[in-house]
Amino acid sequence: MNTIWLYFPLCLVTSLVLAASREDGAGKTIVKGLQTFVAFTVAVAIGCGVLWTIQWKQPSKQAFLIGVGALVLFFWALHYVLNTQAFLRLGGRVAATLHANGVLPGVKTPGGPAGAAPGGSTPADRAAGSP
Amino acid sequence: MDLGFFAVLVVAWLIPGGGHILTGKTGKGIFFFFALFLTFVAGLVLADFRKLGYIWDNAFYLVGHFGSGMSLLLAGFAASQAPREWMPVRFHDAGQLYMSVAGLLNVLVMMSLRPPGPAPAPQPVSAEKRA
Repeated sequence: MNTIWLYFPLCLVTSLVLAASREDGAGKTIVKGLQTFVAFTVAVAIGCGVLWTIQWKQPSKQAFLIGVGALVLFFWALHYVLNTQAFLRLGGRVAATLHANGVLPGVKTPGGPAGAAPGGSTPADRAAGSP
Repeated sequence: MDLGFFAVLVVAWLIPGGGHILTGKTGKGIFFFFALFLTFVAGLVLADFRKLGYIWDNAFYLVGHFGSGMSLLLAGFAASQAPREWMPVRFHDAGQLYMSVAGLLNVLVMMSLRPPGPAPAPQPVSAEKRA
């Protein structure tokens, strides 16, 4: 039986605990830094375990780096998605940036210009006389 | 940091989730307890109750055992038992990882506890709102 499946419950539990504890630690930089360090340590530990299982007794340096990187990205992607408010804020910032650069005309963003004309000009721009 | 919060940290170290229960976050405390307790017990079973001394072969895994008093207690219990030989040998590494991660996650959970702070100062009313 392949033992790789043993690491998936561990990844799930770790991601859930990360997501549940992050909200409480918000607002204190040193606490968030320490939490990030511990989370990264856990990710490295699980990555080593996964790679040791995949490359039993003969781990290659390249596979080690790829596996650890993939697992770290997996953790933070899942963690970020579970932290829904942060995800929505990220989406809002991306939309605001695209709107400011004229990529998304007419996009209404929180605190940003509303009802912008096609082509990206804002009411302020139009008041200033720019096209 | 007052003695009361120090006591909460000690309880949080001894019992995963205990600090959150003491600070009023009962639901999260219960979630953390079951998540970390079950993870550690799963690791013990996967590692066939290997003696604590066995993990001196991998000092990295040993660090996680000190993450919570519960993990030290259970690891000490495991060290007093003969190996069960229930699981294939290839599961033992995953089991050690489960135990180590459970301890590390308890450290992360402890860092999410916040001491009770002073009540926030009332926000000054701006001149526009007063008018």
